[in-house]
Amino acid sequence: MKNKSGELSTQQIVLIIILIASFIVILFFLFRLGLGEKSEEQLCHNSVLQKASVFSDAPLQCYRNYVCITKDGSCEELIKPEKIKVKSLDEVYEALANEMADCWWTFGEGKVEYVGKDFTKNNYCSICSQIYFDNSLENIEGVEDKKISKDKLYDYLTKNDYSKEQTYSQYLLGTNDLSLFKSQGSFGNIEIGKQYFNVMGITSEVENPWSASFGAGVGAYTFIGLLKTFVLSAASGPPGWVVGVVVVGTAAITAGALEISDLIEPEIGAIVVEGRGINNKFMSPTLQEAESDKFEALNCEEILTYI
Amino acid sequence: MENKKNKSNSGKIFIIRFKGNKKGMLLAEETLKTVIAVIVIVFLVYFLVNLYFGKLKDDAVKSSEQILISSDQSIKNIIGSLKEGESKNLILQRVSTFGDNWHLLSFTEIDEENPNACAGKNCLCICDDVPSEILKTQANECNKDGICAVVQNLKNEKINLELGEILTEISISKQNKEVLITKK
Repeated sequence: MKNKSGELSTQQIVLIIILIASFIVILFFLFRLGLGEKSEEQLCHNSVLQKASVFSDAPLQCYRNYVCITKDGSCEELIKPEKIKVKSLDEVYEALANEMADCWWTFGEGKVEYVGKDFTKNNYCSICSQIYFDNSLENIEGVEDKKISKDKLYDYLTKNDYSKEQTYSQYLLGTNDLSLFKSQGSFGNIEIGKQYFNVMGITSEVENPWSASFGAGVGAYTFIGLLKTFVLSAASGPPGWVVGVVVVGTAAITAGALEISDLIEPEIGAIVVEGRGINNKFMSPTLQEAESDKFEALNCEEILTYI
Repeated sequence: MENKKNKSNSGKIFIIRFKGNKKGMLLAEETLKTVIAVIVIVFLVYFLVNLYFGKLKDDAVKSSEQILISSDQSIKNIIGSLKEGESKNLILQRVSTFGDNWHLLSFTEIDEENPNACAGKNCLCICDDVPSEILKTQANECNKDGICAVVQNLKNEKINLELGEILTEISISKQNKEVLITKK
């Protein structure tokens, strides 16, 4: 106690301990904020933009995001997913709309050709997120038979704002008018307890990956991806940037000349939009059951995102 | 009183010097510096070891991806080309580096936990084997450092084959629409 210098060094030790403790507390809160996920998204977005440059040959740095939508916080099917807790069906739709919009933003909003020199295939897909719909969602009001309607999800996209200027639908498809799609059929349902891919794609400038039917099934039943292209006319042309829809379903025939009318329970698998400022077409973000025949029918020839 | 106590206990002589003169003070400062230096060195060593083993793991994952998915003779491609009743043999080489013990594993609906990449379906993974699941589960290990491929009609049987120094020969067959993988 007599030596002031001695006291100072004790103070220093205390100060260092306090500093370390504060640092740990700050780190804890930083990790809780989940900034890592955002920076991963940013990293992917930057690599997409970089790929558009003529001089860049750097690979895309995009990873699949694992998301669990849950009511009670339990998510048994996925290991350490990003959990989104919801209380109502609207919150489920909001979570899905944000996932789809994030995917569209990350891959350049249809303004960037991000495949580069290796563009040899017709449809390059990006699985932005793998979403698990936890069993606890069964107890949410409006959920019937363990199913969530994708038609209502698209209604949500047209009625809710993504930003001050536009709705989710305007951001993704350039229009709020989805009546033309509805006349083609339903978007189908999401089954609770299953995992879905939030997937988008970029297609070749010349070839149409969905113009011909293709089979993935065995026997009489074939899953197909069939593009229904809208007739371009001033009066009833397709709304926004939409050029067509990919209709998926089963067919009792395996013939090459397959029509949508041949399909049993046809579903709109994806909406195809024109690129803006570039000649490529884009498959706008869509939700399809993971590793299912309907996902296969989207004809993703290569997946650009890493697992 | 304090001095008397400390004189009888040689372990506390240092404290008397610490309180009493500048040399002791210097020693305390040096001790602090040494402690900080040790902490920094430990962090540096940890960082470098992680960097080195991270690189080795990356190489192992790339080799695993070749075996499982991307090469022409990958397990996934062979399964895709098999017709009912057909079988093909495949020789698997070692993918891991020293210290690691990578295996070809199956995860099916009978397992409690599956890696995320399996998306709730039957799948095959190549990853480091976890001898005891007390600290970390096998699914967790494959999820973090490993490569997985969904094989929808994989038979609900446990596959656990070591990809060691001795080449592993496997047989892949399709029977009753189910995919079977056995060691030869």
